[in-house]
Amino acid sequence: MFRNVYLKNLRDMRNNLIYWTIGITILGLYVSYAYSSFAENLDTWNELLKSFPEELMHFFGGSEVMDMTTFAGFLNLEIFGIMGPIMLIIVGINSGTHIVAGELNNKTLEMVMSTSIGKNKYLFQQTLVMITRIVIISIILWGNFFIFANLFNLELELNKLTAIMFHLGLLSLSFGSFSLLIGSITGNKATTLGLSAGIAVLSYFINSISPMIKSIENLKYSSVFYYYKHSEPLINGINFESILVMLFVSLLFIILSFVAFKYKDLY
Amino acid sequence: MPSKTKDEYIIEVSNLTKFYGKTKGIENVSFHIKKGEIFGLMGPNGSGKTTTLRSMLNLIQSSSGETKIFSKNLSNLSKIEMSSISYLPGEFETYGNLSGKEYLKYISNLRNAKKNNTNILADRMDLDLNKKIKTLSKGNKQKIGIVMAFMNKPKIAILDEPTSGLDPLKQQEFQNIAKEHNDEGCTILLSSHILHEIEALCERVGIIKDGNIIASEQISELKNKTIKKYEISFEKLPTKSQISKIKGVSNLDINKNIATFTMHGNIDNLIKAISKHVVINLRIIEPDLEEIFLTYY
Repeated sequence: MFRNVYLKNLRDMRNNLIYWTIGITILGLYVSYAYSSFAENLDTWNELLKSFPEELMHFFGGSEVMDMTTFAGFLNLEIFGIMGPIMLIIVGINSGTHIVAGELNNKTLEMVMSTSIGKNKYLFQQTLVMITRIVIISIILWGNFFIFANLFNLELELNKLTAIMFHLGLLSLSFGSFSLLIGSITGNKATTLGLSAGIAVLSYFINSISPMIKSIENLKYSSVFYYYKHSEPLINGINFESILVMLFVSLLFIILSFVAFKYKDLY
Repeated sequence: MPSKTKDEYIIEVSNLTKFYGKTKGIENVSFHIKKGEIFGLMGPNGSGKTTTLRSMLNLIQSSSGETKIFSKNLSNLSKIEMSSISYLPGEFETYGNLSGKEYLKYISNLRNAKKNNTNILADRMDLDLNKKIKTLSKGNKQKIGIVMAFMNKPKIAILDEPTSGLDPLKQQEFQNIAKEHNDEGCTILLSSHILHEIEALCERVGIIKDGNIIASEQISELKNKTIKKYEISFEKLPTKSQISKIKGVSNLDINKNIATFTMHGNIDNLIKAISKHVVINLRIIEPDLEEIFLTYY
């Protein structure tokens, strides 16, 4: 496991992945069990939700297609509205920050970079580690809801679940690659974490609030949350335009990170 | 054993300059190191030693100047050439979650190293490689650094304050290891403010002050150039004025028939002057490196 940067960092994330798996499993079990318990009163729930102001529902990740009578609709609000994005954004930001800013903060990067590995190879392998981590946690989340939906006999289309996980994974990668870029420019862990979290919150607010105000409605296109959720992938399946935008944003940040890292002083 | 008289420079640092914004790190630092040599970079904390080493290895972007290793810019070195260079940072930190063995294996792999004498070096440094690094003391972590510096039998070892935190016994063992590797052909660039360590290991030194190299010479030449202390016993003491008027004499002190003074430069005048008197004993006290160093500061 110490053959290269990728394998070493994969090994380092073992314990972290175990904790994520335990947490996600408990969450999946709890949410699936809760929904199966609510099933008898779903119409009442739907009526209650419809009585909430549209603005409030938007703010908490809901939308006009919200429907609590299906498990997919329930997950769409309870998990993929706020909870899922928060979890995966934490994963992305943590991973992206660690690559340069985290290692510089720990003073471990200088030694690694004095070997023959080279900056590009290091960054490439660490970016793969970030992507691998996001993919693994997305798969754990995906697998959990798939298994528990079957266990509790709840209706959930596999391809739609896969679609939202794909969108969620790319949302995470967008913020992860943004953190990587900020870390490569500043080399400062606190700044990178703070700025990335701040941009994530701002992005969320822009997407939640701007559609409700006519004069700033178009601002929503600047938020990566818009591309994550506007097409409701858990209801309508994958949206390739949104996928392309999030892929492009991630790739752009990653490429810029390579440029910034090339000129970064490592101390 | 490679010839150390061969005028082949393995490291050439020319006008290396690094500014952090408007603040000077180093300016026009130049020195050359011959193959098989141990070169010392001397200077107090903050003088620019670490910045010089980091700039040489492209760990920080130099503002101007260049470094050639194996007669090539660092970016043009082959993988094999890069693998034959080892570096021990001054602020040596490792991954606390790994054991010493795991960390050294990782670094060895990143270097694509073929040779490995980790266990022998660890034994010599009394280092338990199976312990998690986070449980080790500062001295033991530094031992990992020393093992790492030499474990792959490098052709060039660039060491920044390598004995920081080590006890005197292990400092001595480090010197033994460095000398043995040097005898096998390893060129060593040793940055330190521990002068007796430099004196024990190095043939030449560069003295760095405020980011500039202010002297770069053989230690023996450096000693020749600096002020020496003389103690002369006369059968019949000359007058104080006769001694003090000798060119270069200062700090004259006379006690009974013994004159003690310092002098620098050519001693021809001294010899001619004292030859007119009966000299019972003449003692020249060589300055140690610390005294030489202090004359530059």
